[in-house]
Amino acid sequence: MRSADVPAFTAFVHARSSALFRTALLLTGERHVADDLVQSTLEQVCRHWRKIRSADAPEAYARRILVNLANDRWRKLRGHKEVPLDDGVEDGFVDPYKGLVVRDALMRELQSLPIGMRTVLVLRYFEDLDDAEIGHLMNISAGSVRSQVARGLSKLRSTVDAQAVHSRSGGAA
Amino acid sequence: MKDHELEQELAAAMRDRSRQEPPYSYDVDGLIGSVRRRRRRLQAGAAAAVAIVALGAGFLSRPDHDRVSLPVQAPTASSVVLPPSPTASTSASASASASASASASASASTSTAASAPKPADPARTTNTLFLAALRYQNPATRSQVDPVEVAALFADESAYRRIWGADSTGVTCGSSVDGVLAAGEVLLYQGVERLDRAPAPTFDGSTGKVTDLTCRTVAGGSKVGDPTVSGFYGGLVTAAKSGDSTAMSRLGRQFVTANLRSAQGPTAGTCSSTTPPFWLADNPSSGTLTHGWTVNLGGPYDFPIEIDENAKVATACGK
Repeated sequence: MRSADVPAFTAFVHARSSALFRTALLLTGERHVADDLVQSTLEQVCRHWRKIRSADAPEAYARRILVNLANDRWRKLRGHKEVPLDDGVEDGFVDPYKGLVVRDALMRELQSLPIGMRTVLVLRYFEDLDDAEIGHLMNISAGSVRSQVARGLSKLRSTVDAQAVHSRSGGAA
Repeated sequence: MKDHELEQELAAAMRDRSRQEPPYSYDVDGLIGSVRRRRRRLQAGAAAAVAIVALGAGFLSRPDHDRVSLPVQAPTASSVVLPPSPTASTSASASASASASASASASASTSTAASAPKPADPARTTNTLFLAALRYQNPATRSQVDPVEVAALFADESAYRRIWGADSTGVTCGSSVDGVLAAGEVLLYQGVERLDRAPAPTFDGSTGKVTDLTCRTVAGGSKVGDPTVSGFYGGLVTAAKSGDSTAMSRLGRQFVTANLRSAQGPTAGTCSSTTPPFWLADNPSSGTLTHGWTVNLGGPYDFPIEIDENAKVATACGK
């Protein structure tokens, strides 16, 4: 990187690294892994800064790198699936903060989804991208995006429904 | 819970989760430093590879019986005023006499050279030179080639005129080609067929610019080159020229892993390019059982690929 490019790159890192980190956190579920992903993403952005700088949306380029790296990591770890443990919510427990429990369950279930499905959900419901943007970013069609979103939501719904059954049975006990 | 409620709950859950962990503050100097260190290592490796090939071919010190002289080009190269290189004797007044546009380019290059006196990386120059030749030799991409930028790759104007010539085929040993594999030595392809003559550029040690280029005979045999790269990308280029729309899936089955085809669909291994005008693969890398290249199919960006132990493209475009 040329010295003249350093200020612009520095500004980019300061402006966008937090957003990249949050997306990485949702894709990986773990803080230290998210940090590694963002670090690697920013290194690649730095390496290709002259090309990225001239692109219309350097942020989109960086997000694409991040998603690709998350996919790579998932493929390497495939077969070693880790699902976060339930945080001590016992059967039959009536939780006055039911909404929080549901959100916690959603996040745990999100991490158990295949990486592609997880990525489309994060890009749609956290990054607020539309189907075409997600498809372009992930190199898949908008139709594939829609079907993955539908399947992902279906899996998450089953978790929420199970949570509701737990709550109801707990309340009756 | 209704659909829209589930979607709202999911979005809220994601926002909650993302706020639970404060982001790190990333060290920009550290990032830049690590990238620069890596780049220096790669440049050192590439320069060593080029030097080894050059010394092996022997063209730096002695004539070689199997090397033929470069075809002499008619001195009809585009009239281009070379931007002065740091060691060139071209005077400032010479540049001043150039046309306005050429002077502007020359001035820009001069200021760049003044602020970055490091010699150009021979591997980078090789990449730029052969990409320019591939672009020039394809009528559809010829207009993308800037003669001033091409001329700046050479040590002086006479080298540019002698080697690039009128139509760039001096760079590719007198033939028009649509594929280049550069791994220290440079191999030329027409479709999936490798030419039996290969260019060997010589670089100025202090500037890294091209001073000469000879063409040598390449021995036959499938061990020279990379059959997967030339078979797949050469096949795609041939298919694009002939309008064969069925070739991509056939070549994909032959040269791309099922996993990658499943992940990337019908354009697997090409970074979504469907009708590449040419291909260039360089920057080789190797692992225990795999090896990789950086590929350009005529687009603005290069992309990495990795070839597995079954000689199939296993990753491309970072996937």
